Amino acid sequence: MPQSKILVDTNAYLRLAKTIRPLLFVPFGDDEYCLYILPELNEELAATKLQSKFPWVGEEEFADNREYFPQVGRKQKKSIRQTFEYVWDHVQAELPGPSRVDAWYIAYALELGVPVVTDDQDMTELAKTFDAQVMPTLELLKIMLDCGHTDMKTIYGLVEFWKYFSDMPANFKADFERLFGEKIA
Amino acid sequence: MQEAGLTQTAVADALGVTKEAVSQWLSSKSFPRPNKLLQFGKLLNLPFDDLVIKEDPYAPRVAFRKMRGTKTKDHHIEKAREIGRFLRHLVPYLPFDTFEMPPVLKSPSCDYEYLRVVTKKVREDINLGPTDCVDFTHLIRRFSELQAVVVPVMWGAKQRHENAVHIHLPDSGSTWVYLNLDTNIHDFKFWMAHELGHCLSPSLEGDEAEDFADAFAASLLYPHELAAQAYEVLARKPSTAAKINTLKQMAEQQVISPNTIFQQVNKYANHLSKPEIEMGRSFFGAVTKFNQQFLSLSEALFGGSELDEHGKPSAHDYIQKAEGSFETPFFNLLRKYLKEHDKGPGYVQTVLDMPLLDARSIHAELT
Repeated sequence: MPQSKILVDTNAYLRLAKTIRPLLFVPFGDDEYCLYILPELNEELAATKLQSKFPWVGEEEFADNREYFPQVGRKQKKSIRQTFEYVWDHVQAELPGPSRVDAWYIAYALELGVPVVTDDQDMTELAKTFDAQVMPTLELLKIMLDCGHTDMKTIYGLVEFWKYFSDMPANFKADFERLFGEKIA
Repeated sequence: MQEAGLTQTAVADALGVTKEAVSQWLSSKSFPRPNKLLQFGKLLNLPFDDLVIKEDPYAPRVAFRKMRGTKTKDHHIEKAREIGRFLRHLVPYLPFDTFEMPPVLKSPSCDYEYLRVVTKKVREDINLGPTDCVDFTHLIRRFSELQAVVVPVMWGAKQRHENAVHIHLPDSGSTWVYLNLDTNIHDFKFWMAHELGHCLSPSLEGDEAEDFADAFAASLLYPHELAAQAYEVLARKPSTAAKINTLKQMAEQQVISPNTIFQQVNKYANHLSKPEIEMGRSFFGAVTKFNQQFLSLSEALFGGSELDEHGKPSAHDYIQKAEGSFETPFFNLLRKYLKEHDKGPGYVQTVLDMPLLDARSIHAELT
């Protein structure tokens, strides 16, 4: 059975990868879901000049896990680049907010027909504008939970971790209640 | 469309729109929604630039202060323009009147006498005598008088093509000067003066603009009067080694590179048809060694801060020091825009051209 690829943007990666290990390139569930990042994500984490709340991203375990990317052929690559140009022009003309890397994620998602996990509101709006599939981190956790790839204890732990770092996803409370059927403080 | 063998009806069917909509797009009466434009482009297999005619009379104008040995390519220019397009959103928050033009030079030129007069006037404007040392604070003040926003960035000492970027937005008349703090203190001062030259000469473009900004910076930092004195001293020195040592002492006094002084001295000599001062090959090695003795501006700036084990400052310290030392309104503009428009770290990442991790830290600090 072919994999059901899911792309994870940088913000979602930072929210999950420290707790769910390894996060990427591990198939789960009957649909063989498998999480991927784009190579550009590694550039977003490299050559930083300021102190960060995520010093672990440079550790070998995590850096090694970030070496797997969706395989695309030359023709597909060209097509992704073409899509990127349309998406990035729209960002510059109409929707300032998403970064170049965000626009690449949308282009890949459209071309590969796969969803992107993001909590960034600008990126979500961009995805919707171009009819790309998008889901918040909590929805990915719900899929993982339903597949038995994670459990509620881990999810509660993640929520505490995000609270501690003041890194709550947008619409967190409403999404949590919608997806997990319970209110959370 | 004809080449692809498509009729308006076929396009309309494929895109799920009416034939009238397609007809209006083709006659420029309306513009497709972004998703339909993309689908249309895919259907015709056309890159964006081949499908859409873009006219941007107010395209941001950019100028670079390049790192040694690098070449400016189209993608460098486009990237700086992208930053410029993002900067437009900060213009409404500028603390100065964008309806009035700041005073700029009418017909900037690299003529020795012209530069001598212009830089003398700039020195007078910032209350400096003809031989006084130009300090960072003098340059900073002049930037704000010219309604230019200084954006201090940490782009690293090696990885970049440029060390400073000047972005002018013609629609608002605003100017944004990006300065890389990870550079030698002498070079940094020269680039600041160079960027000031750009701010005073918005009518120039390309190499002409770069040449003027370079000549302006050198003349401002080491004017005619100093060059005349230095020429007489250097001409009397019996050996190259003695000349190099003297130049290094002069450079230390003015906090500029010995090379700037050397160049200015010979411009003075040429102007008065005097013989040039010869320095020999060892001079350039001596200049590199001399400059290496000094800290980069970021090292000097964050020296008193609490750094982590990798020597990195916090976003809080970066913003505070950059705001305090450069009197820049930039972070305040950014703060207001992010809050009012509920923008995420992606905006910060693009406008400061930095990795997302750093952008996240700054975003968290500003919101």
